[in-house]
Amino acid sequence: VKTLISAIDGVAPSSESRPSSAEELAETLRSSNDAGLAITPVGGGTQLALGNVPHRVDRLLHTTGLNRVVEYEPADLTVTVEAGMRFADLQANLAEHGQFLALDPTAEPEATIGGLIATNASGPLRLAYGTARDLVIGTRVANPDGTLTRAGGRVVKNVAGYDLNKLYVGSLGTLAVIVELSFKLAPIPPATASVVGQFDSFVDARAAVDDVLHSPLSPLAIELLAPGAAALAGMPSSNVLVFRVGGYPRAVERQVRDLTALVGRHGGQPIEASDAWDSVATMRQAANQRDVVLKAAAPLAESATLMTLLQEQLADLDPVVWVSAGNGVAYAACSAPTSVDRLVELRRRVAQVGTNASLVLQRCPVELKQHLDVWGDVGASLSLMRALKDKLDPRGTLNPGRYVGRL
Amino acid sequence: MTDTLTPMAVASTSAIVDALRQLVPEDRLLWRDYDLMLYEYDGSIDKQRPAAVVFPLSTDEVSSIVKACTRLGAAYTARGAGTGLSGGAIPAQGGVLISLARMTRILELDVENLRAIVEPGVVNLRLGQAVAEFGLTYVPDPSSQKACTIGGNVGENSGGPHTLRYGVTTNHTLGLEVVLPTGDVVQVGGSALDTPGYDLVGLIVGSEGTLGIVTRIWVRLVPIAETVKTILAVFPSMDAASSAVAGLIARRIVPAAIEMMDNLTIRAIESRAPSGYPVEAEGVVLIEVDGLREEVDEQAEAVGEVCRENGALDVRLAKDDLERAKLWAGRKGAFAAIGRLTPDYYTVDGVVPRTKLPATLARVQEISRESGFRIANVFHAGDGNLHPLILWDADEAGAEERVIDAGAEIMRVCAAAGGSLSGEHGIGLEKKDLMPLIFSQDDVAQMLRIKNAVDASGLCNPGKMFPTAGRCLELFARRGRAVGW
Repeated sequence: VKTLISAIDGVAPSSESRPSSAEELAETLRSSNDAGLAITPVGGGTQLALGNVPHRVDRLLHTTGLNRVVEYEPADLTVTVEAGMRFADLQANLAEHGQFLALDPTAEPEATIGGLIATNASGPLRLAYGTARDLVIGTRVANPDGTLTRAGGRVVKNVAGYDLNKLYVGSLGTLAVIVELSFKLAPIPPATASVVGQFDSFVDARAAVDDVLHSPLSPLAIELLAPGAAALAGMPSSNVLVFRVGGYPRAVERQVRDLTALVGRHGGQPIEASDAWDSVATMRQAANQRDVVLKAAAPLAESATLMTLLQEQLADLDPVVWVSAGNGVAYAACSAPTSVDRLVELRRRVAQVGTNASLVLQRCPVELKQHLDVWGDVGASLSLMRALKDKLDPRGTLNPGRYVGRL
Repeated sequence: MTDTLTPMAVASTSAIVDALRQLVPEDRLLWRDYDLMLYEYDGSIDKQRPAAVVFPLSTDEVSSIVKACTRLGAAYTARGAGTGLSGGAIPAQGGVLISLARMTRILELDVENLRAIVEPGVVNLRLGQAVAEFGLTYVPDPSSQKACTIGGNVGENSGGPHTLRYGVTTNHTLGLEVVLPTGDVVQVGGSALDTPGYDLVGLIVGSEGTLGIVTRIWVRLVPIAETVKTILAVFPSMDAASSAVAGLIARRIVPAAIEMMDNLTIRAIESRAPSGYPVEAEGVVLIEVDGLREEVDEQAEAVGEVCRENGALDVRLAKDDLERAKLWAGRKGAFAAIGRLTPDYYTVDGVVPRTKLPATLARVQEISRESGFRIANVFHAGDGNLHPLILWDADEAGAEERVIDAGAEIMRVCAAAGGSLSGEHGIGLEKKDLMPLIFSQDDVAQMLRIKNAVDASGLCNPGKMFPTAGRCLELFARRGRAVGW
């Protein structure tokens, strides 16, 4: 097998394999584990920038040979697929039945469903639908000892056994290799629309968001774009608030009416932009190509604080900053600073915004990465995480060094 | 290397009581046999008396109790209100029962951030009432919500009628403070989302108190819906009723709640506290739609259409809040109403894919005929979560074994339909030996690795969830239908 992946953070793999079944994958994993080889599971290879610099990459284990739909019963609103299936292919398949998997991460066409789940990728729609942890109902994984194990199931409500689904989501392939996933699905809303407002200040925009969050209005997403992000989205270079609404046509009309009025009440100026939602997606995609991409999380009322902090601290690095304002999750994409101290200081400031506020470097040049943990300090819970890692992957075969605390 | 369950060391009762006396005052410690009797059971069938019951008031006290138990080699089990239905709060191997019932403070109502921080002993309904004045609500609403605690809900990952659209406890729990089996206290998650690292909140919610003791919980609050409509659809058969439910999902209508009740349940409810259900109906479906006025109107219309297409005899919209409340009182009081028909009833909890509801309900009726027990059905149809209530009499010789067998048979049907052993009550003691119906030996071994990674001494709520070695095969062998690997 030959792929375009020459190295992960400068560490070159010495071999790779692309099994065509879960059993074959598990067997490859077992033999690698026995041989003391370090394994990096790879889907579409679109998110390899995430994580600390690996200690070793002896073998790339591709999941793209596992790309079948295992079971899809539209009337149950659930689907089971192999992990190496492309996310875009899955969505196309579901759309034929008026359904979708309610995740909208910034994903390249090659991105696989397994990769997106292993990295806990999410997007603006999380406000209404949650994230992978809320949508994954079952998993099948290959373990370093070669066993294939299931957790959860194919039904939407299930408390039998430990909810290991949650553990595998976002674990960056450090505990096991996901080979199959079951999801609960959502109907595609019959109608959708966007409401866009431009504001002179973050604070006014944030007040508008606060009003909406405490009202019965239920937008699918609320994105607040700082001027740099707005400009990149082809909108006026100011603070731009974008609401996405969906549902029955009459309810959508009502939300558009109410949100437009609310924008005005808070000193915002409504903008006519029928393609606003596509523009936001394009902006996210473009921002993701920058040298540095940061994700900051804080209690949701601190969304504006986060934005101001990112905007000010990164001001000389041509920053593109935006926030999922209903969730308190902000992103910044910028040029690389010359020193890692800048990022360390930014992280310290973000941490002060809330008890478990965090700053993750999702993408960052290797030279900077070498000097800090891209995930930050997870505190006292690290010992528990390490205990789990040691038990599930005792030889440290899976993605050594890349996860929190360099597990 | 295969993980195994750590065998139990047995500490003497006097050593346990002496140790606990050093940690809490006498009025927060029970050890006389007479006092302990109340704590030997929960809402399930099993019983086991603890050596002592202790009532901590703080995280530090919980931590010191856990450390003392570990030092003594005494098992410990957390308990909330004891309303659980799978034996989660039963001290299966004796030892110390740690009651969180006196840690009842709502520590913070953070309206701005739509969060609350509560202690585990806060009663579910009380949290809902406390946030209502701010126009907010806490979604998970188990039928026992007047009594059950948020801590217990976290332990079992409880559901309720309104979790169909909005998710169960795990979807509304953002952070936990946990006393680990080492006695160490950690905070996982919190007010902010996306904490880096493994999702330990997700692992611990629903772990049935086997991975530590939760002492503080960060929950998500949501605004109360603008409009709510409750619809009662009356059907000539359960088959028609369940086809209507499948029809709703197939038409991509996901209401806030879809609850189904059969004739036995309807009659029980109407004879106890009339709620407006027609006693001659073979099945009724209670459907609630909520949201914006415009959305609710369209949904209600569509719901009516689907019900009529599937043979509904009547589709009735509650005309005001009073009528709505009455319809719900009937549903939430259904278990109590069944309790008046029979000396005992066994609540079974199983899940099937929603398209398999009609066939599964038909099989449940056959099991009722074969076993000779009456079975009432009252359940969360929208998520395919069945609750057959098996009516029985504990005083009748041999009945317990037969009623458990009937329950296991229903589980077998759910498993064969591609479903699960539990939608919201947990595995606990009740179903641990049925785990092979849906999980392989390797699947359970993986879960055991988690258990042993977190609870190396094996003292934290032992005897739950994991099949008893060797027992699975023999348990149902008497019916000639072994469960095992």
